[in-house]
Amino acid sequence: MSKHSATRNTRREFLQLVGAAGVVSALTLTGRVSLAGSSGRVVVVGGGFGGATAARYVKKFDPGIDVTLIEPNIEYVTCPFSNAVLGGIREMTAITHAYKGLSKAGVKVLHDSVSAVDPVKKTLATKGGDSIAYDRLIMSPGVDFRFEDVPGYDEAATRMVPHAWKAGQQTVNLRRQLMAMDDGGLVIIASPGNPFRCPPGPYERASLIAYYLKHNKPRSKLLLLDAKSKFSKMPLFLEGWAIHYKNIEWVAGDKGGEVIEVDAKNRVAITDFDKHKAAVFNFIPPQKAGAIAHGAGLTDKSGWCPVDFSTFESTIHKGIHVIGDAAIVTGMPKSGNAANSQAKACAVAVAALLKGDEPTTPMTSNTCYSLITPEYGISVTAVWTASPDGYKKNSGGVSPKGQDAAFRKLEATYARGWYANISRDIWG
Amino acid sequence: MTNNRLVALAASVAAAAFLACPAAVQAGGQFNAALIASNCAVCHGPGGNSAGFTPSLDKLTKEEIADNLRKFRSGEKPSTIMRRFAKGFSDAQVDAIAAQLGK
Repeated sequence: MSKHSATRNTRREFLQLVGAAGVVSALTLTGRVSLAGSSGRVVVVGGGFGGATAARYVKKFDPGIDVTLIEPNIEYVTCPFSNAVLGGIREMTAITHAYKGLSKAGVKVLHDSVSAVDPVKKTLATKGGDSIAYDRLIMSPGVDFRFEDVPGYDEAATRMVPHAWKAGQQTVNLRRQLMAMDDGGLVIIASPGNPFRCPPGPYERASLIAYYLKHNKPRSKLLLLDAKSKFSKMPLFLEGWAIHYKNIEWVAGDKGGEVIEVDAKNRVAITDFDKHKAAVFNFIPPQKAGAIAHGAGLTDKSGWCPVDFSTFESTIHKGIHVIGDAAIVTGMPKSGNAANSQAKACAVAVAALLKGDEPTTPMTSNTCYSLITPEYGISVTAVWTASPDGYKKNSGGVSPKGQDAAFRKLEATYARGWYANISRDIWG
Repeated sequence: MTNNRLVALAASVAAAAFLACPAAVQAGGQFNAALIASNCAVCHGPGGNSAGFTPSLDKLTKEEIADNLRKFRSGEKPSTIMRRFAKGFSDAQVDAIAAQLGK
């Protein structure tokens, strides 16, 4: 397909995708372009917590900007609350979101994959054969796995030993294995070293799988093998486990907990000291920035993407901004809420830069709830201000220990509120 | 069109420009109020309109929001999470958030 015809196809597809909503927003735009006083084309790659937020908020902060979101999947399945699916307290449909809301907000949504980025010409190519020009590119590539670091674990092994660290079919696979397991079977979760996506995630997962086992497979145990000796919200998790679960055993990294090799066929976790055979084995691999970030040359030797902290512009390629789990954002965790907040700060910066204005110093925030049971929630939160060295915490911390059941239930309720509302903020 | 009407129109255009483009208005300032307030949406819903489980903010006045934030910040009003949040904001930021979200 020639580049010329590809471009025409793209426009036609956009019209089909955007449909009537696009016409309405185009009319709205005409009234606002002169007010906003700017224009330009922003392309966002990746429709998760970071990318979908960035696309929506660039349009919101400056409706005169032409915004295209490129995402291969028709629907997005969130990692947040996927542990609730594993625990049997939420359905997959409740964590699956389409992109109609973004189209209605005036974002052109293109379901395709990016095959190459040219930071000099400011164009990108898609697998569908399109060539798309941008003034500013925002990439939110998420994570990929360091299969190269773990003997015995590769893409093929993820069927027997799911990671379920990107939600979707992997979540369904792990849930089915848990349901099919005999009562008395051993579940192993292996948690990676830092940095990785969603620091409290493995511990919430252990909690909600232990909840499922306690009520459905009371003779089963959960062995949590950890590369680390300390983890996020650790005192709160240990307090909650002491109250609710006798079926969790956590092995710290300094006690030989790190899984260094996987025998996927036999579901065996291999550490320096032991071999543990599981009935169900959930291996959460070490991670790096999503493949597309490596392909575009945006990563450094750490495997993650260095960025300017006030604009999220890559320090390697000008004109390309990187947000979310893939970016090195010193001071902030790799979480869905952090990606959402970074996306908003990035959107403000991109709108300012396209106008030729000086970007302001952004403030970001994060709220991260974990469920220990459906009625027992814990939280960590923070407010940050950007500095040249990273994000400096203004305030925050974990919820207090020793609280009564009513307090924990309120945090579990607010966890559901967070999910319902952040989902609407992004995809609604 | 009378001069008064022109002035009123100009004022409403300026207000619309502010709403449509807070980044530009705030450029050069110490913080971006629209950006800070946009982060409230993750728990309280877009524009402070919650889908449930957490309180909506969009029916509150600016004064009520500012008052609540100050009381959370001091601990006078008990909370699970809001004290940890509100302590991150200066008085000027509290008032700016309230102005963004309140009626």
